[in-house]
Amino acid sequence: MGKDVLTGTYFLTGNEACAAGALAAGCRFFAGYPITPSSEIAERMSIRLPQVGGVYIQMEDEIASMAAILGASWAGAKSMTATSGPGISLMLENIGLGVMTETPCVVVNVMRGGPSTGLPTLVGQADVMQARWGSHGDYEIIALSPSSPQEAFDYTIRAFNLAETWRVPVILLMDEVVGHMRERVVIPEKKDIKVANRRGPSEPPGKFKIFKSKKDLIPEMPVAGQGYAVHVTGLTHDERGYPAIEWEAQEKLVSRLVQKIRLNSDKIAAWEETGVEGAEIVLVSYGISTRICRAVREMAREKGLNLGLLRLEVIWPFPEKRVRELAGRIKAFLTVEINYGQIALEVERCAAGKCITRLVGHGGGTVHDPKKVFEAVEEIAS
Amino acid sequence: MIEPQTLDHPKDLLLRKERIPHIWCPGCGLGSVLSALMDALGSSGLDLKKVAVVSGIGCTGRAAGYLNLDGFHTTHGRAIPYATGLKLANPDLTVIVFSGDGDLAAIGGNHLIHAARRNVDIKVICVNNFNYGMTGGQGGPTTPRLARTTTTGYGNPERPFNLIHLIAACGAPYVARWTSAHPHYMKIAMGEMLKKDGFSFLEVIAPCPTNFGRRNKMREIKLLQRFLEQAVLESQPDIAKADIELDSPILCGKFVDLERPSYLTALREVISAKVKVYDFRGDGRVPLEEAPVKPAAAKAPGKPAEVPAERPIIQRPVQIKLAGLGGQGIGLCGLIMGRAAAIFDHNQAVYTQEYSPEARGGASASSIIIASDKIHAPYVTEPDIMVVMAQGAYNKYQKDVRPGSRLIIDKDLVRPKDLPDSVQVQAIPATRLAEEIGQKVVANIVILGFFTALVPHISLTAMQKALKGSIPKGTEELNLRAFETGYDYGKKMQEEEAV
Ligand code: SF4
Repeated sequence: MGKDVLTGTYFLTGNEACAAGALAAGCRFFAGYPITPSSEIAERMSIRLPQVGGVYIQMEDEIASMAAILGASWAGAKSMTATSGPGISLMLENIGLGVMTETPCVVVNVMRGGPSTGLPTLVGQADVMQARWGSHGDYEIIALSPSSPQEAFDYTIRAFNLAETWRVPVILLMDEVVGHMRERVVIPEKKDIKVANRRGPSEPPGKFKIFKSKKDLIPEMPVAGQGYAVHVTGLTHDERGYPAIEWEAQEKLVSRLVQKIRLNSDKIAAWEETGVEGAEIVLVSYGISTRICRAVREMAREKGLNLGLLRLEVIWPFPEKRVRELAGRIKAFLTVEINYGQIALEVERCAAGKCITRLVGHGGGTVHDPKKVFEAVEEIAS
Repeated sequence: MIEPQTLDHPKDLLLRKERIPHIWCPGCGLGSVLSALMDALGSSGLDLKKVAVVSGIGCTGRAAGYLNLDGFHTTHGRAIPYATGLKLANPDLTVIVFSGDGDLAAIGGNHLIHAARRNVDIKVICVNNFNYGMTGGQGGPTTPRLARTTTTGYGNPERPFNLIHLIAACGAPYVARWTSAHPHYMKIAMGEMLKKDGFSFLEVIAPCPTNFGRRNKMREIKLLQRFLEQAVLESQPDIAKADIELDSPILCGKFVDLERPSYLTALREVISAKVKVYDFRGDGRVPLEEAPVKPAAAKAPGKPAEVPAERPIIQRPVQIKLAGLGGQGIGLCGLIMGRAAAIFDHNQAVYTQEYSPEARGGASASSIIIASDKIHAPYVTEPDIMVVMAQGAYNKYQKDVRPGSRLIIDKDLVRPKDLPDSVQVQAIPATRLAEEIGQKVVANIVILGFFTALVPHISLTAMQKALKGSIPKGTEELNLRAFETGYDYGKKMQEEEAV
């Protein structure tokens, strides 16, 4: 069998790096449907998975792809799909099933401009809110956003680890630019890659209740074929997994699904701060826009202006506490994203009027012009 | 007093007793179908721990919840793709889809035909009661013409699916139909399916007295009676005659039973013949042997990186744009430059490609930014160097040629016009030189050599290493010669200029 971790230094696109990360994380099943700008992930997986004993299947559509990776996960495999724009819209119903049945899996959304068919080959960052609550009903989810091919590799591994740990579909919100640009990617040795695996049942079949959680709100997960006669349903269910169509059951189950992420958000949320201490104005950004903000920071420094950057590595859960804290100390938050205000609203909510909040956004098709962002900074600074 | 005795029913083993009573109406056909499946499973000799049942939504969809097996109650219409994932991720499982006609043939119709086409090894039991029972008896894809349902109050105007014909046409190796009034035959069919390697499909015609029966003047017994009286049992039934009309005979039996390699069997065959273990290079063809692991870049120990002595130090990021026509190998040039700078010179490099429909032909461009420090914004906005290989590309990207920048062109193919002031043009007859070497296609590599001679931002060693690792095996000699030709031409030109 082939190697799953191909240690070395490469010049890869974000999409290729994402596929390499998935294999390194232990992904052995990929179901997908081609769509620009995500297709190279599927192409790469179709070549690589058979080499490591995994299965790639091209399904008839995105709905089927999402259903298939849930099935594969319950068969014990780490599974993944990748798509973009219209494809992710089609996957949402089954993403909800994944949340409800606590099925670990990774969904990559290489964001393009929308709505509808929009800009198939060009960048967008407008699926941020959809990643959070695109499926119907109330839930919490985890979403990450890489800003370079190296991070596409690293975060894909992280996405699998988070999915396995918290038993929730994890969304990797890449964007077209990160997906297609090439940069140096270092793939470490296998022994240096941390891989998390789901916790299997600690009790024998019979006694064991498949949706009874421990203190951390995460139930242990048996899979098909182990003799646990699992019953998995998208209906509201009790700890045995049986349908329980009552408000009490709903309260118990859905609040746990929400709380397992909310109460643990300190462990899941991750962000990076650059020059935030002492800065009056803090840029908030993620994905490719982060890099534009770095360029803006340099422009600011040349003009003697100290600009902070809060960059979301994990978008959901949002670093609510930290944003609240900073809001009391700084003059303004400036959110830079390729949409008309999705994370900006979140920042505004958390700032709660304690500082100025502004959006520098546009509809997609290109990244921000650093000069335009800098103009917005100067306007607030003056 | 004698205590009443309760005996375990043999089927109890397969039922989740605590889930009984079930939700199905009296007179519903679903119980008989489930019962037949339990019989078939009981006598199949299969390890029941390895049997999984998947269903979608609706009355039939509840079946997965009553069986004491691994059971998955999925979203409406999606049982088949879910089952596909289960089976492919663990081929040891026997995966049964047990769902209704609305679920499988309407919303799930696409999955049904594709699973049959690819012959994925799942067993599909489609209980057809001609309507959507659970939601109150609406019409569906199998409702017979003129039948009344809550959404076809004047009689159904549509022609229903002949599911038997449809699935057979998709290539499924096992297709059968029985009614719930034929428990014995159902059981036999299910037993055969459980043994089959491949997509097998059983349609069971079953009564829904509560909805379909009531609206079509066929209450409990009448429907079953119709099935018994009008069922035509043939040993070799004709698929084309499997249509069901409101009052027609119902053709039953085994319509298809043949051997055809299942999806997994076919997949294994293809893979075992072709899969070689090769090293990862990004696009997968040849290993990039000398690529070192840079220790500073993290948790990656590996070989300590050898930084070449002549590593160019780049004070300010250099923006390079390469333009040509599709097929000229402009993208490959950029890729080699990027690899050279990022991997072998240990500088930073960002490579982007202009993604537009024109990437498949017509003028296209790729860009590289090289720097010694981190590169933030990934796009080339003000190219310092333009490399242009075709007139069409020149016309398109002429706007990017800035005063004071450098323009490298194929002399025979590009005639620059309206040049801004102070652009330094450096020209090479790349295509002609390539033809002299033997093949026009290496003109891009000739230009790459020329570029290396003139531009100081990527070292010669790095470029040579990257070139070697980026071209298909068997073409090394030609490409190296092309590279040298361009390089020598550039060096000579420089010397002449210096004189
Ligand atoms: S509604 Fe029809 S299909 Fe559903 S349980 Fe009742 S009789 Fe059976």
